[in-house]
Amino acid sequence: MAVLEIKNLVVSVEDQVILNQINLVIHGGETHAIMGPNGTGKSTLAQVIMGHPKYHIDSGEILLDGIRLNEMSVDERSRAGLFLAMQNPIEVPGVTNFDFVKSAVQAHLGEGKHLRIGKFILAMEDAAKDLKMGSGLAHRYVNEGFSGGEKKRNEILQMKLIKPKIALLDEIDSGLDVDALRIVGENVTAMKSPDLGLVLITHYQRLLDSIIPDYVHIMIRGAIVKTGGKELIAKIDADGYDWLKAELGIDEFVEKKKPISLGTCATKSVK
Amino acid sequence: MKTPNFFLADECTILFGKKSKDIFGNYSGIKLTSDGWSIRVSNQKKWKKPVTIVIEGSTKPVNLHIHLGADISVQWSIDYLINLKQANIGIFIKLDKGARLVLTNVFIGKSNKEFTVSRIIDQAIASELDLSSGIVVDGNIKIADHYELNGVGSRLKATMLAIAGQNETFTSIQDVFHNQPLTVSEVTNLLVSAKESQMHVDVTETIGKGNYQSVCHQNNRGIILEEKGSITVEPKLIIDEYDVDAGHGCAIGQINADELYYLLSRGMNEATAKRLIISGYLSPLYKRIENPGFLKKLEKAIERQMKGVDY
Repeated sequence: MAVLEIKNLVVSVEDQVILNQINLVIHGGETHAIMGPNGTGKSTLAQVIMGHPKYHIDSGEILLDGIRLNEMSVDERSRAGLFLAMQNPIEVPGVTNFDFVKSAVQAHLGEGKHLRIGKFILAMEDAAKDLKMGSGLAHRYVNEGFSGGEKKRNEILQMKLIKPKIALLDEIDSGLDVDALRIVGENVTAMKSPDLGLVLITHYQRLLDSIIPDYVHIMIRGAIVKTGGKELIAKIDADGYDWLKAELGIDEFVEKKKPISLGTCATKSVK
Repeated sequence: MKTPNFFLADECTILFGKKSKDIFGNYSGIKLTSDGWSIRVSNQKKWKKPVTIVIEGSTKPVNLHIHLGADISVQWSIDYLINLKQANIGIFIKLDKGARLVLTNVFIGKSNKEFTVSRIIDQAIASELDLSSGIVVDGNIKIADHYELNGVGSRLKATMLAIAGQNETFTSIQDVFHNQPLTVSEVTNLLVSAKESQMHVDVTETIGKGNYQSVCHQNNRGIILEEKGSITVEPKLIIDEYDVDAGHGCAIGQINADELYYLLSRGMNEATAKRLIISGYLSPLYKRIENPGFLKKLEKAIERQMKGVDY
C-alpha cells in the first residue's frame, strides 16, 4: 500500500510564502479532498508535489513510500507513482493522443520492458469507451480542439492506463456538465483500491457526491487550517468559509499586495 | 517506348536515375528536353490518384518543368534523394487557368558540396498551389523560391519545414509577388535547429498598387534545440495598396516549457518528451507523404539530423 507523506512543507515565490507548514499523509485506498477559497494554494500544492520547476521548496519533505521526492525530477516522480490530472491540460500540437499515452505507459514499464502494443490498443479503446470519449480519440492531437469536458476526461483516461499509486486530481470537475461529471465520478470511483490514494482538489460538493472522500482538508492562505470528514463539505456548501474565519480568528483574506515597478522614466543627467 | 504499367497505377513511383537519359524515353507526358525533365499534363485521366516521383540527385544541374493545363487538378509528391556532390536543382512550375497542384517536395540526403534549389512558380487566373516542402539535408543548402501570382484570384499555400544539423547552414529566400487583385498567399516556415546549425530565412511578400483585396499572411516558427544553434528570420511585407489583408509573425525559441512539463509529468524522460514534441512539430510534413517507403527514408533522415542532440 502506497503512502504519500508531506512533512512541514514550506514553499515561497519571490520572498512570499505560498505554502506554509503543510502536513498531510495519504495512504493507498484513501480519498482526500482539499477545498478552500480561490488563491489559497491548493493547485500550487499539487504542482509542488509533482515537482513543477517554477516552485522551490524552502523546507520540509515530500516522501512516497518513504523515498524522498524533493530532489527528484518531474518524470522521476511520475515513474515513482505520482499522477497529476491538471486543471488546465496542455495542448501538444501534432502529437496524437495514441503516441502520447503509449509513450507515457511505456515510460512506466521500466527499462528493458516493452509495451505489448495490441494489448495497449485494446486497453486504450476500453478506457475511451468507459469515459464515453468516442472513436477517433487516439488519432486526435493531445487536447487540441478538445472541449473542456473532453480534456478532463482525457486526463482520467491517462490515469486509468498509467495506473499511479497516488493521483492528484486538480479541479477535475471544472468544465464538466452533469453527465460528464457522473462519468468521471464513476470511472474514478471504479479505480478506488488499496493500491491507489486519491487527492481531489475542488470547490464544489457535486464532485464529492460522486467520489466520496474519507478526509476533507480546508486550505486558507497556503496552510491546511482544518481537517475533518465529509460533514465539512455540506457545511462549506451551505455557509462558505466565513464561519471558519471566525472560528480560527482569521481576519480577512486580503492578499498582501506588493508594489510592482512599471519601469523607470527616461532620465537625463547633467554633468 | 512503351509506358510502364506502374506509371499508370493508382499510386506509382517514378525513379529518375543517375543516368537520367536511360529512364523512360519519350512518354507523352514526360520528356527530357535540353533544359531538363519536363512534365506536361493536359489529360486528367492518367493523374487522378496521388503520384510519388522520387528523383535521385545528380552531379550535373537538373531542371524539372511542371506545366499543368487549364483546370487540371493533381496531387503529387516530387522528392529528391540528394547526391554527395549534388549539383544545383531547378524546379519550374506553371499553372494554367484554374489548375490545382497539391505538391509535396521533400529533399533528403547528404551532400559535401553546397548547392541551391531554385523554384520558380507562375500561377494564372484562379489557379491554386498547395506546396509543402521538407528539407532534411545533411549539408549546406540554399533554397530560393520565387512565386508569381499572375492571375486574378490565384492562391498559394506554401509550407516549409527544415531541419539543420551539426555545423550546417540553411538559407531560404522566399519572394512572393501578388501581381493581380484577389490573390491569396499563406506562407508558413517551420524550422528546427539541431546542434550547432545556422538557419536563415528571408521572406518578402509584395502586393503592388491596384491589386486590391489580396491577402497575404506569413507565419514563421523556429525551435532551437541547443545553445550554439541559431535561427534568424526576416519577415517582410511590401504593400502598395490599401484594400488588402496582410500580416506576418515570427516566434523563435526553445521547446515550449508547458508542453515539456506536461509530458514529463506523464513519466517520459526529457529526451523522449522533447523527441515527441518535435515529432508533433514535424507532423504536417509526415501527413503529406503518401509513399510509405519514402516516409521511412524521411524518418531516418530526421533521426540522423537529430542524432547526438543534447536533450
